[in-house]
Amino acid sequence: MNNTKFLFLQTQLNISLKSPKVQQNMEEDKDLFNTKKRKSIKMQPLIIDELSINKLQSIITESINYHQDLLSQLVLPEQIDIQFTQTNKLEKFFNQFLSREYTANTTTHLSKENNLIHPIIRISTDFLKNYNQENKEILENNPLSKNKFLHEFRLSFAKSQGKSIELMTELTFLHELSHIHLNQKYLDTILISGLLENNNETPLLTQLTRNIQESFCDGLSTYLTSQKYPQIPVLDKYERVRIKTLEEKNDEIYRYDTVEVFSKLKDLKNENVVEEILKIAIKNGLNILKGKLSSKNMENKLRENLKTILNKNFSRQDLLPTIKDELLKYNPVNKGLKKDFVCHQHVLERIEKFRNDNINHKKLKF
Amino acid sequence: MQQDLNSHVVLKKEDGSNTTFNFKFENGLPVKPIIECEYSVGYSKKNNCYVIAIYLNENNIQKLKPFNVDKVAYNNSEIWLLINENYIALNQLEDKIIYEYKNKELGFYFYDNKNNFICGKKLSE
Repeated sequence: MNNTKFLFLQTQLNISLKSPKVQQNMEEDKDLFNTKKRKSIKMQPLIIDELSINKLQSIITESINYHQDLLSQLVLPEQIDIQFTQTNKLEKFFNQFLSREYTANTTTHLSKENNLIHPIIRISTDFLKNYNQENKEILENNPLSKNKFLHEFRLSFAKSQGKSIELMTELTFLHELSHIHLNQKYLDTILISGLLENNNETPLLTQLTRNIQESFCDGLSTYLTSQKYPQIPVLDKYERVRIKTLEEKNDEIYRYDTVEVFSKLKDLKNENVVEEILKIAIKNGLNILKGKLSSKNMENKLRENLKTILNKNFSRQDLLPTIKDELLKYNPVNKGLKKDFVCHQHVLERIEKFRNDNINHKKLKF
Repeated sequence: MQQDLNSHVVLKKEDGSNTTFNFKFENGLPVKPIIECEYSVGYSKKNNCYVIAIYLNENNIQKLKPFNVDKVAYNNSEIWLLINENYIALNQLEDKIIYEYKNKELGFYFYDNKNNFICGKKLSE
């Protein structure tokens, strides 16, 4: 394989538009193509699925306009990029080894120029493709994806009165947007702590905060979507997805253990919705943690984690109330937060590393 | 109804500030319509530069007139021209073509589908 073909494997780096420094008119050169050598190459179709991007864009624009009243209450930065990605054939090839598909993630970077948070929400067009909501049997017997969540997500929202794609897109977008709100509003707290994200010394606390984040994002996205589509049991369908993909681990808090959130949303009143959903999420996380504290080992781990962050010892009965009190408070531990932090480690970064490692070592053979 | 690809949507917030959602392709470029076309690459002795000849249908010609290139983006194998809020995206280009644009000059000829010359532009970064 020559170098040109290897380029096909490289990560598509972000490129930027610049005005050309020189622009001159140029006369025709009729001898441009030697008649014997003339070679007209039909441009290969770009690997950009404009139809799918158009569809996703319409859905997201409509969602923003529809939910404007509540979204305007969120703490959001001035600029948010929504980047439409798609896996090409070669990335699908890599996906076989990684057993996952890339659907959506949010990356938040601090802009080097002005130190402001500039999040990027990436949404893949791929989960819209080949999606036939009528073929539920096919979906069940031949999963389009090895990603368990994606498979169950598609299955659960198949046959949603013709609104499957809209529902899945809105839920995904609003979920990621909810993460941005949390990051913006609670940046200097234990709940959103880059220190915790990268700190192996407080694993239990880190698991708890991740669970609360996901509970909030699941809660807000499903609440908003269920308000827009009252005829479709959005909360039940999403709950089913989380139940089916739940991973029980004795000595860990599973990040996506958000099952108990959805029933509480049904009775939610329309006032202070965002704050109420956060309370539900915190309660969910603390309940899960409480269940784990029956183990002395877990109790000691939590005590150690808290001592690392707050530099104090706590008795057993003070552990949970302390976490509840301290969770959203300003915490000076977070000063010196790294400029680039990733909210989620997702598949694309793994694909990039795997791919680039193989490029460098030229191990690939086709 | 399919709407044209737009670059952004603005959310007006309660406190009077705005959040702008910028729609972007995977390569980071703002989402805008992409013009379909065929192209050829050759060398012009007369103009002493490589030239990419681009062939357009009538509809696209009207969108791009008077063919002033507003902005250019490129990577290892692609060049994107922004003309009147439309992209011409040329892919699978050889390294040397990209090199020519970056370090020397690169010509662009625009033709209609009957190979009639419309105009030519010489560009450089």
